[in-house]
Amino acid sequence: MNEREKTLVERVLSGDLSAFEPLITPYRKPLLGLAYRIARNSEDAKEVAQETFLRAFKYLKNFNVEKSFKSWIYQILVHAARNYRNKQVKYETLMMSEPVKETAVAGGDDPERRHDDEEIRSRLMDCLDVLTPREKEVFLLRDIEEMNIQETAGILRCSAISVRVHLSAARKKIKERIKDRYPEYLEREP
Amino acid sequence: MNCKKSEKHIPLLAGNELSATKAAKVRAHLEKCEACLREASEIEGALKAAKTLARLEGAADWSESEWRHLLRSITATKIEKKSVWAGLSLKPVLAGSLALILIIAGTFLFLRKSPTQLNTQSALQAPSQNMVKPDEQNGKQDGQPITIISKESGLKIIWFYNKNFNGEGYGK
Repeated sequence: MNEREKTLVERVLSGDLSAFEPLITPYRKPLLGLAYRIARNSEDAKEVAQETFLRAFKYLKNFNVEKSFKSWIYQILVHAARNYRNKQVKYETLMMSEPVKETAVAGGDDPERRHDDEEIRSRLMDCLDVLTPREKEVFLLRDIEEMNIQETAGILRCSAISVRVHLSAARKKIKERIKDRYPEYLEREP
Repeated sequence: MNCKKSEKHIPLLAGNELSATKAAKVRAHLEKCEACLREASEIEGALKAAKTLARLEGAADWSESEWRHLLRSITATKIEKKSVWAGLSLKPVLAGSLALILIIAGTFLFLRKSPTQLNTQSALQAPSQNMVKPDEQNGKQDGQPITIISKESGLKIIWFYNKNFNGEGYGK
């Protein structure tokens, strides 16, 4: 854990609540992005990320300052997303409905940019759809968030071997999907 | 290294997750095998494409007012110290409770006398009322019955011994 984060955690725990914002702000967009890719819907993603920050604040006393704050907060997010997903699955089974897929999140007021964003997002989501929940978590943490194998294993509370196995399977599936539906992305590569 | 082993390692080679020795072996195989080389370049390309898509994707975010509101509501909550019990997940607790119930039930059953034992003992002590006693029919009572019950088939064998200790068996 870096010294800045350690100081901020200690300040929050000693009662200086204003130190919480600088502590979590670096994770605001990355966590929301990851939550969005897991939840597939901006409202759900915001709820998962909000729950993550709330739990991080509530249980900050349990955080070991000798360990990585980044890994800890990502671990909270993965658990919050899993809980949320389980609730959603139960709800969807009860209502016999399809999961809500959403495309419009960002892009601002520019319609052309928004259209491009939607296109890119739907392609990425389409690729992620072929993965199992565990493969998706591993792929997002390792390949998209660029965490190392040990960090990924720590966040998912599994072994490095398990991460490698799921990562290998995920990359093969992603390759097949891109080759099948978006071959232009493979042709672009040298 | 053959194609089968190489195929297993190629996805990890794309992300530099193989040890130097293993990576060198896979690369040596790729130099000789065109199909595996194509597979490796496709996986690398797909990985780059997925990263590019993720980078290009417009990130979702809160508006500034939403973010301020969120921070205010979070910091308004109380920082808690999780109790030791809260850290335990429900599954081990349930498994422990179930094991305890099973131990108690097992002990109770073990200590209780089995019905078979009771039947044998009572039969040895006093013959059943419904039992046909040949000596009684003849007006004589100088025999002693012994009842044996098979646990598997339920077959009941009653032996009557006369005063000369000559047994006569009856099966039910």
